[in-house]
Amino acid sequence: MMKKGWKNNMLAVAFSIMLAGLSGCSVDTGTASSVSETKTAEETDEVKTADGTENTEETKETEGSKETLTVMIGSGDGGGEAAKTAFQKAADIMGINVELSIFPDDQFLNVLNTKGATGNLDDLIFVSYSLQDLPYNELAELDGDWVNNVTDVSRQFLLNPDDGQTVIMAPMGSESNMGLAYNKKVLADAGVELPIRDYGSFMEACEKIKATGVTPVYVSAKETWTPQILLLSSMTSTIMKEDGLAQKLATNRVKPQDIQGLQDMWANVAALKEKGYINEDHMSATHDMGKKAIAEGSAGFYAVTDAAYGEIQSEYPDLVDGVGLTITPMWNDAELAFVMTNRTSRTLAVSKKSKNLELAKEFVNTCLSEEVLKVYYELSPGSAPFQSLDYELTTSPWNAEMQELAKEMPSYGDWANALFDGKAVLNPFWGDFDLNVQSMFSGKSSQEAIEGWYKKYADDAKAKRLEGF
Amino acid sequence: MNPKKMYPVYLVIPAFLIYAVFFIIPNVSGLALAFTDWNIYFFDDIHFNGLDNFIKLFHEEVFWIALKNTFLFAVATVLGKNLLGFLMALLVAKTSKFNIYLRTVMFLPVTISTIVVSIIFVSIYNPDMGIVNQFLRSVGLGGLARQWLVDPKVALWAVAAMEIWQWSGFNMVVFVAGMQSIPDDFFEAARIDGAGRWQTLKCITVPLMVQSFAVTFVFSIISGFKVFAQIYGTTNGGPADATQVMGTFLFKSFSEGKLGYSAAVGVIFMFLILAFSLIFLIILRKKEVEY
Repeated sequence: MMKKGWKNNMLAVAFSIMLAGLSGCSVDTGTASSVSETKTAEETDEVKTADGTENTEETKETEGSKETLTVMIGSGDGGGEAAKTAFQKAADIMGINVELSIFPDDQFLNVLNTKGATGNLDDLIFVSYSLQDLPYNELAELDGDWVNNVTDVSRQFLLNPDDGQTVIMAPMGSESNMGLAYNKKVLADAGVELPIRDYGSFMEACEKIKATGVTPVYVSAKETWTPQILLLSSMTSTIMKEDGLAQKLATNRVKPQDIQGLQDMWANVAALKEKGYINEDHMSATHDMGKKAIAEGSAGFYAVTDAAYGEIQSEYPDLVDGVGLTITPMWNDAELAFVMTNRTSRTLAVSKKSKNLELAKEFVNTCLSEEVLKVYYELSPGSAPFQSLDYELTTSPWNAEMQELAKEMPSYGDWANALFDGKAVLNPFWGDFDLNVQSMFSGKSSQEAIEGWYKKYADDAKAKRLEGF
Repeated sequence: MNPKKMYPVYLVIPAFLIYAVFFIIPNVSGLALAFTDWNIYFFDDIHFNGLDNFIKLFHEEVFWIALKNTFLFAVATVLGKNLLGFLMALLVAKTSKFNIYLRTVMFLPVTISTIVVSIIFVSIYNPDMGIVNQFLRSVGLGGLARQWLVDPKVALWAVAAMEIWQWSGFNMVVFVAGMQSIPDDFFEAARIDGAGRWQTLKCITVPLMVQSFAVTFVFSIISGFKVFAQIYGTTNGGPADATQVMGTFLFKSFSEGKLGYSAAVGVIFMFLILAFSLIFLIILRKKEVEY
């Protein structure tokens, strides 16, 4: 009897251990709970929101320890100082802790979607992606005084795509320009004048720069996101040129490779390598090397977003004034020249299932307050995505330069962020755009690359069950 | 203890349940999901789509690149690890204090995490500052310097070399054990018959070590086909998918949220490893010698 009892006990213990182990695999699907019941108002801070009004914010502290919010962030942003410093500032104002969950940039979107699908997003996410690429049904509605102060350019990209009304993203980063950073001295020495309005003139400029012994265009294709800027910042006007073309692309009635202007542009980018106008180590070159090359003048042009200004400013403070930003003339027809001005570059969102839902929403509003935005824009200067502010944020001379150019030519977003008839119809069409642009620098023809891009985005569109695919 | 005593069958239930939950159910589910359009955009809305995933897979250019690369990587590393491991085993087979020290040194890379090894080799292979190119330039062979991890022509082989470096020590240990288990009588008889070192190696050592070869070959094939962290940590399948292997291809499609499609990749992947492992095992079993 004793023996049998011992065996049964052992069996019970074994089962318990197994069940305890398995329970670790379960997903917490509990509904979100507000922290308001556990917080105590021990001290107050006055916080001015993005439209200049003042809010009174309580500092929340649980008994004995501060509450903690976690923010999912890509390694590019998480590694930089702007977001980290601004979030810390917001946390200090609120009297809470903030922790960053940093993911590699090339995996971040995938992790976001997987965690979103399984209901495991962190409290907040800080991203540069469009909503269509994100698990937007998992994001909570946001509200604050800033909501009605967002510019028209950015507003469209903050709304839930299903209803077009609910704000689920908060614009923190500036409305950004993309283009070619250029070294002023290199261009002056080569006798190159800006703006260059078409590809033919750009080739002439490259030839002049090459003649002075400097690399005309720096390409850092070790990372896939930088070479794609060459085409991101030049394709929109060609799509804009024909009414309804974007809608046809979005419903699979036209393929990118069927549009002559796009074909030419991809071929023009590939030709930069064929003509020897780019650095020889382009496949192992990194963005850091690109910034160094353009700051020190070992290259004439380098395709970047305006975020590079803040980076060059902190890394090469003595040289930053010698670098400017201009358009990317990969088009053949000078009439297609345009300035690329995108929606807000970085947005904050709150997970619906956050256990600290209200606190997270309050954190968003604090991040969009004067105190925090000033910190953020000091480190990442740019044009804030708000209609009016009664305080000044640091802007970048690059944005000012592009705004000047925008007086002479149209200003559009990149093809995915451009508004066609008031809508961002090409927003979900990324595919492996970056990989395919990179592939032109590692041996693929422009035709193979543009077809590869279509194939991948068609696959994605099919998975998303979009019309026409 | 009574050797005839039978324990009740229910004692296997905990182990069976764990095995079922972590192996049987995932594998059967994976097989079933391979025939669906399951993806993260419509997580709760799964449709049976027949052979669509497999048809799409076989029309995918990158799939064939990944398959070719996996095969090349497996062949190169199976040969490299076994050849180098065998040579190292010959070098340190005799037991001496120095050889014991050497064995430890040669085995050490096995103990390092593959991701850590990858990070180290990213530095070693750096085109400008890496010691490989620095060494080549310093001895006047600068013409052989390459962009090891970004030149599509050499990147896969560079990663294979890293894998060979890391795992040859493991094969060496298996071979040393195999060599030490061969009775001395055979070598003594061969010596009396006037066999030289080469003949002894060819006619005694190698044939009597087929079991060891079977173990290391099967291990090497399985690890060669399952290659993932080595590529992920160095080239991440790039540049432009040139070094994509089945593991990274599967990871990439899974990461893109195409879950049913990824399951189909996994099924193909599993059968490939199974087929190659069985073929090698059958061939080597036939060559085993009992003594």
